[in-house]
Amino acid sequence: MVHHLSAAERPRRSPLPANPFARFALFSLIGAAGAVGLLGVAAFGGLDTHDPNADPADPGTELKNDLVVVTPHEARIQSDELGTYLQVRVDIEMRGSNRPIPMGNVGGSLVVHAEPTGESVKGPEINFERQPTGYVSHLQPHAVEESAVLSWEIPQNLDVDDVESLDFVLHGIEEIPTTGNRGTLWVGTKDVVGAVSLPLDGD
Amino acid sequence: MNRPLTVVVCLLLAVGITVLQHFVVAQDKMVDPVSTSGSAEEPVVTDDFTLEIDRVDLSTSLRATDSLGDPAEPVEANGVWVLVWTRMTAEHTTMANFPAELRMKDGTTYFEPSWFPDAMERATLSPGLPLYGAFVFEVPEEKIDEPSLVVTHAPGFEARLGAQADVDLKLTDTSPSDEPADLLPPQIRTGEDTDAPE
Repeated sequence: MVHHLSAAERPRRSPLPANPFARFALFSLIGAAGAVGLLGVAAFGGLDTHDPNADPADPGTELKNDLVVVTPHEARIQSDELGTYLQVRVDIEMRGSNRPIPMGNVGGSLVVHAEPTGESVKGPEINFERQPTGYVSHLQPHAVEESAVLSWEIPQNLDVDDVESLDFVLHGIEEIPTTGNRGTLWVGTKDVVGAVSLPLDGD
Repeated sequence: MNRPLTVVVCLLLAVGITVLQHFVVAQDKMVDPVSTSGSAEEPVVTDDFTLEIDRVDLSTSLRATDSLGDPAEPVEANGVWVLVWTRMTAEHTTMANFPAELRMKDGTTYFEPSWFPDAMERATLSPGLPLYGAFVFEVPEEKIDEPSLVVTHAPGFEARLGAQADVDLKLTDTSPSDEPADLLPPQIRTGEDTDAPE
């Protein structure tokens, strides 16, 4: 027959105090310490992924998300009779799909921040310098385009004279299926993949 | 009970089911355009149009007119210009929008850059009148691999169950010419006149 040890006879291995009130006090203290620690973290801005936007790289740095590879070179502000545009000259290649992608889809991940005010705008149009009058509606797969110009219409509440430099920011992008059997849609996400700070070219 | 016969019948049924599974059309393919395959050697006849490949030009630059119809400087390709000279005839409706794609062996697909007013994509086909012109594509040279021209009647959502021709270009020589290719506007030509322009 098996001999069962009673609770009192069993050798104590737990480091916790035997007294239930002492245990309650201990857990309460640990909980309170955790809460204070969490409040402290929250008070200093919370836990967040490192923001690459905070320390932008130099012009000529290659940035890459799931769809495109972009190397920004220089920035300028262009005004004509149609409006004022923030422009960035880039090398761009679409690698993420083997079908052409509408520029409107890609543009969701291409954002420019006007510094120092921090106003941002996404969804640029694209032109190729070798064919300046040609409208580019799609990026073709694996075609490396050197010297393409991305143009964002300047935000209404931004004054051109306030802009000292442009930060080009590449966001992540994800592919989502569409209903109605017409392929997929690429949508820019909130994650920042990389940023490049570009001084304005005199202009 | 005949045990071996049962086993054989079961196996046959299992194989039959697997084979029949291949005929199930996936949900997302159910309203794809109705595609007619063919090759460059003969006309491809779909429900809405007939398409016949005349020849394919590969060149590193392209001479075309600008949007005002004036001659412009040759445009260098980022890669290769692929001009697919085609004779197309609408069967029973006027066709104004028939997007074309150039599809490689591995599935990589190129759209027309829509820069040239004289390209075939801007043309309108009247029923019964054969139109001769070129579809223009720009492709990185190393990507050119057994291309097919895919032309669909109607773009986007309207292409559902639309007529489509998928034509193997039978391209063997993929080295481009350094002479600029000339893009001439589409013109009406009957089938008997097979002379290429110039």
